Amino acid sequence: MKQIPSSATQGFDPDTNTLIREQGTLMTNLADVYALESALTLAGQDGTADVFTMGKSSACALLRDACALGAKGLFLINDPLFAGSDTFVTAKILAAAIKHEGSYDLILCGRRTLDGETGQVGGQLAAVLEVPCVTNVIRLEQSGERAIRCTRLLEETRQMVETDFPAVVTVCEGVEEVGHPRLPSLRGIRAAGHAQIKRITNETLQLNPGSVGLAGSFTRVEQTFLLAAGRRRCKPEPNLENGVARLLTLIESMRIGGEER
Amino acid sequence: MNGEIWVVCDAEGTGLSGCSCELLGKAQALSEKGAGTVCAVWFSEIPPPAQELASFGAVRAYAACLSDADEYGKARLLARLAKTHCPQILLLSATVQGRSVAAQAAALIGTGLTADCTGLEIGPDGKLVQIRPAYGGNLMARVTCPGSLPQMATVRPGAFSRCRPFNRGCCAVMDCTSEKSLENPVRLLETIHLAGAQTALGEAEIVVAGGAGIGSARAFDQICLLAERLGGAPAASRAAVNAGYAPYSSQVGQTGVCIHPKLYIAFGISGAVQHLAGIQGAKRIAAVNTDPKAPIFDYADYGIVGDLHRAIDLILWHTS
Repeated sequence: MKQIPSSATQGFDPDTNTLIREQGTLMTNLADVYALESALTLAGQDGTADVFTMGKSSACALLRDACALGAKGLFLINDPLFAGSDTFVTAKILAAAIKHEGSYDLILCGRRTLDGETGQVGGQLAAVLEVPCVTNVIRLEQSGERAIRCTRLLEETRQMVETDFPAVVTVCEGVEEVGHPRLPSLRGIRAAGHAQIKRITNETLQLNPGSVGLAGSFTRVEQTFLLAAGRRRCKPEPNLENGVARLLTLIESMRIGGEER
Repeated sequence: MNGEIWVVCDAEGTGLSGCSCELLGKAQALSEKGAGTVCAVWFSEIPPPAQELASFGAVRAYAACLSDADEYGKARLLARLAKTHCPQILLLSATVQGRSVAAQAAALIGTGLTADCTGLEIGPDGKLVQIRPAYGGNLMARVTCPGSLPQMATVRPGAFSRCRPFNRGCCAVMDCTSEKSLENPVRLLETIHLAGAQTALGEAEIVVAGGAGIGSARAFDQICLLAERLGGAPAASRAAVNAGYAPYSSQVGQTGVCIHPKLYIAFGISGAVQHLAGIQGAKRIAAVNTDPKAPIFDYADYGIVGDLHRAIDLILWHTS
């Protein structure tokens, strides 16, 4: 799971060409909330769901929230060496941390984060761990003792697939078939307050410092810029009826081919 | 540079998919800037359409008979071939399956991967510059992969215009099926076809879209009704999909589709940049929003300030 700035979901101010940022507000990435929900449902009474997050100490809040919902093991992967990691390096670090903590049946991730939006970490994690990967899942259920059955959303189809444990599955956000994320119980909130969070640093993982963080990342962001092209700058019509009438005229002219150019 | 530019192509029917034509066209443009020769990668049970691949500039095709659903096998074979033949650039369409194959293959090769590019250029040093929305789509970023090869990217469908066949050369097919390794551990049980899929959206002349401002799934039904009435296709912004008002298959913008209709009508969409990037190809953009300061108006040709539900009702009434 990942803690992201809530500004990632906000827009920018076209007057000043600057990002709208509320300093310091953080949230849990939405798809990850659904991934946790799926994990808790699958774990049920007999299994356990552990949460790994890589980030700053502020991500302890994410882990406590997850604990209040029923997560057992809480792992914060946190080391200054890891700062600036691209998706591949992030996957390598996550894989090392997960391996270090023992065995697992299934790894669930959000299908993408709302800030980075690459949707790559799940697939890369699966490849690093040498396990199968099922992405963009909207529904999942256990199939027999050692397999998982998933419904995935593709562009034009839905696929139902099955794979054996261990595997990586990435879960879609906002799709109700995964199940509405549960709310914490009072007992859960109390437990979360004094839950043990285990911090995993590179002292534990022993990765080559040159292979992690910014230094180990293959991709480089050279420059960022605001999308300036494509501005058409209309003057919005304040009168709804007049506006609709103009729009209808436009649609009508398109229908008779008047807009062909 | 004497390297190769690889384009992982997908089948549609017995030929090339539209996304693949876009990618081959772009690869050709990069090739003309000296980035290498264009080669196709064709992993499908359908035999490689050598003539069609040639007509889009591919001089060689690395082909293998693999099931379309076998992302595991595709990623592994792609990684193996890339390690053997060392292409400079490796491009895939940013479809759900393309992304999954790309992520796994990039990790297996051990190279960088840039997701969902909307632009590709060759920099002054001959390196590939990959342009993609960043930070939640509020900014665009120029990304490079200086220290490893291939320079790998997934490209958003619809980001580049679809070129016509332009080449009369031929494409040599190399059958790599024997190099494929393991059985796919992900078993495909069933495929269900969705109504109102994104291809319809990609080709519609009028697109009627709803954003977070529509407020309910019922309002999205109205959007669908209006789209049908106008002979167009319904669409939704990411915010509307996240809120559960509209299905993911209707999402436009970052991680959704890019569209190029003659008219795009946005209801209750404030205009996050990733959405704006997805509708850049629209010839005309109209927007209805209660907030006169909504960024979408900056990018629209026609703007109406007011209640979108009333606007929809009015248009429906006038067109009934």
